[in-house]
Order: sequence, then C-alpha cells, then structure tokens
Amino acid sequence: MTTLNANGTSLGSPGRSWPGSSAARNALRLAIAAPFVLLAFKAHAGGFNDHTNASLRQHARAIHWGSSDLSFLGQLYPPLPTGVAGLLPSTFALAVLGALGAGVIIEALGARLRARGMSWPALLALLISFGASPSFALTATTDLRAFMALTFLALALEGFLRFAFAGQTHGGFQAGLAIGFAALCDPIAIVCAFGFALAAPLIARTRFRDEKAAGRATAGVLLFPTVAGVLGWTFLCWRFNGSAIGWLHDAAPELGFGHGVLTQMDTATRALGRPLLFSPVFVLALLLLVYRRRYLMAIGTALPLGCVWVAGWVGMQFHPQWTSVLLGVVGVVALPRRPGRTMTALIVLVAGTGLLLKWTLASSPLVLAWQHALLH
Amino acid sequence: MRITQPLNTTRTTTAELSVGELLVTRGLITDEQRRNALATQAQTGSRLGTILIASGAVHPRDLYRALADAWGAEYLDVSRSELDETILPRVDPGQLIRESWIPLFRDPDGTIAVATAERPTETLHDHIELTLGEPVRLVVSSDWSVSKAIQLGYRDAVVDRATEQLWRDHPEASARVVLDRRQQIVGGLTLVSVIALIVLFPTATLSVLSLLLATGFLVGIAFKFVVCMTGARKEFEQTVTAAEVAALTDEELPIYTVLVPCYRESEIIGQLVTNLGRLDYPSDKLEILLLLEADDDETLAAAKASNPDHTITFVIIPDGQPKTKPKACNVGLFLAKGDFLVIYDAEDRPDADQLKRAVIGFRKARRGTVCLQAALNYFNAGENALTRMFTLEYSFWFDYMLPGLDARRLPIPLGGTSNHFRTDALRELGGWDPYNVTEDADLGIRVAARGQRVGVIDSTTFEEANRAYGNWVRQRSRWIKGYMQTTLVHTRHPIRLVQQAGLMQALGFGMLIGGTAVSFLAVIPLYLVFLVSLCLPAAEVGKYFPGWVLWFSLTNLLLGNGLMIWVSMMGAFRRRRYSLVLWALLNPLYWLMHSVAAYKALWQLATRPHYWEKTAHGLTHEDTDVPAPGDHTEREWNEPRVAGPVVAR
Repeated sequence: MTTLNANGTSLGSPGRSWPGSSAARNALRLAIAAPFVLLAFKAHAGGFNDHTNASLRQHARAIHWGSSDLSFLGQLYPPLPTGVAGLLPSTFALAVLGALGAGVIIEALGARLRARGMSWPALLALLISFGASPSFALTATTDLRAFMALTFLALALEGFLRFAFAGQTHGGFQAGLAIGFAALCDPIAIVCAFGFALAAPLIARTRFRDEKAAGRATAGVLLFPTVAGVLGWTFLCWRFNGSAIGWLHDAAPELGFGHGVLTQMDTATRALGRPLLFSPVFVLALLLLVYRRRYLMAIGTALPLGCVWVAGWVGMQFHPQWTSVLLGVVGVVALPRRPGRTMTALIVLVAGTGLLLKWTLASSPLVLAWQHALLH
Repeated sequence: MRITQPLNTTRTTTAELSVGELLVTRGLITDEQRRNALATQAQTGSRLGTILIASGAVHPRDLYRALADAWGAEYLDVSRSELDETILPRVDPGQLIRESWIPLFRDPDGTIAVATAERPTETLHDHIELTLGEPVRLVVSSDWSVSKAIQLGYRDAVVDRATEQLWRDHPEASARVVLDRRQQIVGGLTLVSVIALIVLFPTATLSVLSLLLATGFLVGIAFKFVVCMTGARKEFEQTVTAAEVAALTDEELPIYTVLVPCYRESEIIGQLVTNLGRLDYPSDKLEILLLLEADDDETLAAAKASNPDHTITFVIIPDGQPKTKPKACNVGLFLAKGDFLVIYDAEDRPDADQLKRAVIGFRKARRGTVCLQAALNYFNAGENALTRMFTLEYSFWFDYMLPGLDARRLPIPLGGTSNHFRTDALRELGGWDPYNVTEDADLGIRVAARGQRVGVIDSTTFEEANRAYGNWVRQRSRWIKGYMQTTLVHTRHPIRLVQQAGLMQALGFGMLIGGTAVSFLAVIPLYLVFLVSLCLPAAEVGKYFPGWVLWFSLTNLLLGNGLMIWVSMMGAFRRRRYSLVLWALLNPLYWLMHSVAAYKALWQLATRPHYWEKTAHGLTHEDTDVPAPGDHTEREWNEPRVAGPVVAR
C-alpha cells in the first residue's frame, strides 16, 4: 500500500506506529509507567496528603449510583473521572491509574517524535524533560481528573494538528473524540474545543482556499462532539435533576466575572508567567514557527495557551502545574520535523534547561510537600 | 452478439494478417484502416478482426465471410437459422458460449451441420464430434450470429438457469423460500413467548426488551464506529496508484465484460451510452451487454436511437417472474466472455480508469479475492435535502465503512453497482439470487460464507441520488427488504456460517445486515418512547422502566445518534463536500424516513417477498451532461446489434 495525500505527497502513517506491534507498544507503556507507579507508592508510603484524588473519590462515593429517580446525575459531573473513581477501591488505585496513563501519554509523544524524524538524543531529552518534571509526575499521580483531561487534550491536539495541517480525517476523529472526552473530565476542555473551532477556519482558509464552506465544515466537525456531549449531559441533568446547568456551576463555581472583568484578565495573564517559564520547549517551538513564517501553525500551537488564558479569565480554576504540563505537550508535538545537528543540539539544550528549571524553581507548597514525602 | 473467438486469443497469426489484406482487396476496408488496425494490434495484441469490428471498420458478417474464404470453409449466417431441437439438449449451452459453436441441423446424410466462429481445424472438428457423438460438418458463421443462435436455441434453458439454478444447486442459499421450517418454528415460538411474557409480566418484559434493544443498538453503533475509524486510518492508502495505471499496457489487459441492466430507463439511455464510451479501456477488449427487458420497448427503441458504440450489445431478457435485476444479470453472466465482469446501473458515471484499476487491484489483492467494490457517490448531491442526505450516507458508507471492513477482513455487502468480479469465480458462486431484492448484499455475504473475500478499490462511480421522496421510500424499502431476506437466508445454518466464515465475520454480517434492518425498525418505537419519556414526569416513567434502564437507554440514544451524525459529517468532509457537513445534523429525521421504509419492507416481506420495487432514474434537474466521449471511429453500418430470443423471434 502507498500512503499519499490528495496531492500525492507522502504523509506517513496517520496513526501511531512506534513501536511496530501493539504488544511492544503496551510493554513500552508499562515500562514508562513503572517509575510513576513507584513514585505513587513512595508518596503514599511517605504520607503525602493526596487531597485532590481523595476528594474525587469522596465525591464518587457520595453518589447514589442507580437510584431510580436518577437525581444523582446532577452530582455526577465530571462523569468520566467520577465513574472511574467510583469503580476503583482506593485513592492509591487512582494514583496507579494515573501512572499508567503517564506511560500512555509519554509513549504517544515518543511515537509522534519518531514519526517526525526526531533523532534519539533529542527524543530522549524531550521525553525526560517532559516526564521527569515534578509537575507532570505530580499531576499524573495525584490529580486523576486533571490528568485525564490533560491526556485527552494532548491526544486532541495531536489529532488536530494532523487534521488541520495534513488533512487527515483520522486526526479529526481523534481530536473531536478526545476533546469531547476531555469535556466530560473538565469544563476547561469546552473552552479548548471552541479554541480549536476558531482556529480551524483560519487554517482551512489556507488549505481549502477555493472550496466553499470548508472553514465552517472544519469547525463543525471539530466542535460537534464537545457540543453534543455538553448538550446531551445538560439534557440528562435537566430531565432527571431539574437543573440544566447546575453541573457546570458545581464544576466551576467561580465561573463568571465576579471579581471584575479586568481584574480577572490581569490575574489570568499573570498566571501564565510561571508555566511559560517552566516550558522553554514550548517557547522554542513557537519561536521557530514564527521565525520560519509558519504563522498558522504558530496560531495552532499558541491556541492552548490562549484557551488556558480565556479559561482563567472567565473564572475556571485549575492548578498552574496543569498549564505547565499542557504547554509541555504542545511544545513537544509542535517542534519541527527532522531537525539537523544544530537544531538537535538546541533542542537538547533547551529541554535540559527546562528540566533544571522545573526542579530548582519548584516552590509550590504542594510540590514541596510531595517532594518531602518522596524523600521520607 | 459480440464477437467471441477473436476475443479469446491474443496471439497474432499470419492468417490474420492476410485477412487484413484480403479485406482491403475486397474493398471492405481501406489500406489506411488496415494499417491503423495493425498499429492497434501491436499495442493490444488483439486479433486484427476484433480490432476492425470494434472500430466499426468492418461488419462481422463481411469479416467472417472473408475468414471463411481464407480458411476454405462454407459461410452461413445462423442468427436466424432453424435449429434441430433434438440435438440441442446434448450439449451444455455454457460450453457452446465458451467455445463459440452450435449444432444446427442434420444434413440429408445424417451428418450434423455445426456453425463455428473459430477456424474449423481438424482438432476442433474432432472435439465437436466427440462432444456430439456423431459425424459433423463445420460451417463458419460470425461469433455474434453463433451467440444469437445459442440464445435462440436455448432460450428456456438460459432463462431457467438464470432463475432457478441457485435454488436447485443450493436451496439454502436462495431467498425463494422466505422462512424455512426451522425458522418458522423458532420464530413462531419466540413471538408467542414474547407476547406471553408481555401479558404476564409487562413491566419486567418491557424493561428487558428495552435493555436488549438499547444494548444491541449500542453494540451496533460501536461496531460501525470502530470499523469507520479503521477506514479513516486507511484514508491515504491507495490500493492502486495513478502511476500503476499509467504503466499498464493494453497488451496485458484482459477481456472485460460490463453488464448494464436497464429497465424503463429510456430517459437516460443516451447518457448511459455516452458514459460507457468514456471508459478508458481498449474497445477490442471490452464487451458491454445492455440487459433490456422484453416488455420494455421504449428503452430498447431509445437504446437503438442512441447510436451505441460497437462494443455495446443489447441482450433482451425474456419476460417472466421473478422480473428482477439479478435475473437479468444472470443471463448476462451466462453470455459473458470476459475474464472480469462488472455491473453498472444505467445512470452510472464510473471513473474512466476504473476497469484498469480493477485489473491491477485483482493482481494485488489478497488470496481468495473474488470481487472488488468501487466507491459510489452522487453527482447531484446538492439538488435538494434528500439528495444531500443520501450523499452524506454514501460518503460515510463507501469511504469509511467499506475500507474499514476490508482492512478488518469482515464481510462486505456489495453495493448494487460497480462490483468487479472474476467471472469464473462468480459462476462458481452460482451468480446472483434472482429471488433476493438486494442480490448484491447477499452475494457479498455468500462470498464471505464460503471463506472467500471481497475487497475495495479506490475509484468512484457517480450515480444519480434519488430526489423524490416517494421514489426514495420505494427504493429504500426494497433495500431493507433485501437485507431482511439476506439475514434470513444466511442464518438458516448459523453454526455452519461461523465455521465457514469465522466468528468475527459472522458477527459482522449480523450487525451489518440484520442489525441495520432491526435498527431501522426500532427507530420509530425508540423515538416514541423518547417523546413519551419527555412528556411524562420521571416518577411516572419510573413505574414502567427502572431508572437505570431509562438512563442507559437515553444515554445510549444520545450517544448513538451523536456518533452517527458525526461520522456522517466526517464522511462528507473527507469527500470534500464541505457544504453538506452541517446537513448531517438532520440525520435523525432521515433515519425516521428509513424507519417508514423498513415497515413497508417488513410488510412486503410477508406479502410480496420477491417483488422488485423499481427505482425511477433520470429525475434529476441538474445538468447531467458529461464531456463528449473519446474519439471513436464512426460506425459504418447502422444495424443495432440486438441479441435475445424475444426480439429474434
């Protein structure tokens, strides 16, 4: 079989194909996940107070699953992490699940880098810089809800780039589905979905310049799963709980401009500073795109940053380390393909600097408490 | 009929070259025509006579007269000869078609006169004598005349074979009987049990039924989605590249038969002839059979008036029941001389290089591949809401589902047109079931049930989407009825099906064919339950359905509908029909129409199982003109080549 795009240019396989067999892929995922499982165990044994996962589990246990009036639907959001937390026996099990997810996400990034012709030194430097950072490990093993949303958003972004730039509808499926699932984990994904939908027509205008309705269609297929999921959930809540958007208020209690539009804007902008400092790979990727005048790609890459900013502005709450991890993912997937020697050296240098910054400048009480638990 | 013997051989002989000179000498062709034909021969390897006939330079009668002279044999036009009916039953008409000869009558001395379109050699003479068991005398006739005489002589046998052969050879594979004894018993007992349970335990039974339905619906949707995602992964994989097509030489191309069943298609027959003329395939290796029904004088007249290309032959299908497309196709299969065979509908516009792609596709196909299905789509997609929805549906089905089924090696229900077959394999399969009104889907499943394969090729045939609602319901009810027939046929021996086709293939068949029909039947009840559940207070609904059942069903309904709408949007996107993408939001209404058609289908299955709901074509108001056909040599005689017993008589 020959793989070609509409113009006859080779695109490579649309799916992840590294390692080649699914058995090898799963083995690699498990191998990558193993250190995170160990970290989860150490933190648990060291008495780390995993309050985020604990509250998720408490939330899940408080739900009267299967009550005949179905009023529990009003408390179920976010349904995916809540459902998972309801099924698993302990907070530690949630941490292990997160650790396994970390194996999946790092393997996926590795596959993406391999597909883009990244050399082994650069690939390893990027993955270590990303995976060995405290913010990633902490999010993976202590905040299942945020990590699930993050994983789905990472997959969505990877699919979006393939869909928007290479015209692969499989990428569109992945993006739409993943972002729809992300919206069932965290409402911030709804903002991201609209971000994708807004960026898509810009990209579509270039790709399908002469084709009528291409932009509208591109936005439609990206937005539909999220909108359908949110409307479906709203309908079920309205039908069985009497409150259509109560779930959204519960999930984002600060939603709105209660502290003033400008004040919140200022807060959201300041909140991006530290994650940007911890994400030099993202900054490098963005600068390279601008330098190479690939402005649309740069817009696509900056999109998650914009989404996080908008989400913060409208009052959605999330931890800055979550933003760091998201930007880390974006940076890795947006780096140029087949870098030369100089570029590889630059990538290795920047990735190493990022890792150093993440460990030495980590000052959040949560991170420090977690590090403390690991050392004891 | 079209020529036989020259089609069967590609080797050039000295005798043929001299035939060219002979024809020039007799003034039947010009020297320039002879030289052109020789140039073509160098490219295709076909016989000179075949090329000259295909180009319209010479009439078959004149060619065979000259050949008879060259061979030192008697020429006889046998197309309307009286045949000795006592001799005919001794030979299988299929053998006669393949070998291009027919016993005619007894000479006064008892010798049997036999007409042949082959060179009357000693070997052929001995072979025919051995077959008939009596002394024979060979005369030469054109292959078209021989074929026509065979159809005349074996009219009843051909019709009987086209109608009943599958039933006789494999009764369990035929839809002639709707329900066999075992199905009647099992079905009857199941129905009675369900009714009894509803009467005795209404709430529990409704809950269980609802849960079963919802689970089946969820599994069906999940199956389609997974297959669709597999198809999406194959998006940029080309089974055949343009470079491979370009590298193909005419010499290596096999004979290709194109069957075009036409019934009440007088409006579009001219367009059909134009579209067929656009096929990029050497005319001397192309055999196009227009299958016309005997009671359809209007289409025949329109076909004659369309000035068809010399590769086109009209075959008149004798009247009789069942009057179905598969019966006509079986007659066409009987007459087909190609190594490969394809079916097109009358309104079809296949990609010009589709036959070549199929030839390469078969070369590269997995072992056991007997058929390749091309993608179908519509040229009048934007005409009205119905054509838009139809196009959305086809884009999803042919661009995602079929490649996905192919990649997962699951059974592929063939579309009604653009299925390319290995002719021998199709004959071994028994051809189409004339009692099944979706003979195409049935054949695809039969292929899988015998452990063989259907593949796909990345080439598209554009059709006319149905723009009239009544016409659409008629067409769709026939399709769904056919799916019901196919389900009943292939579930007669479910264990054997699993053993032969494999478990996943059998499940895939169940979900694709049976599941489709059942899900369409379920749409109206599910929508009604949904509406009722909206109108009643939750507590009231809870009296009949436990909360979790209702929750599962509603979530399922929303999720299933959402997913199918989305894949429909993506299908249009992939086809670059961007303006159709948002129309996919109307799919729930479209499925409601399917449900109406499904109930009509169910009613017809009980009352008129073999009735063929004819779909009217040529209703589109969109401009259907296509570019003019290629540079064809103007034909030099105007006699339409009509074959078939009814016209002949």
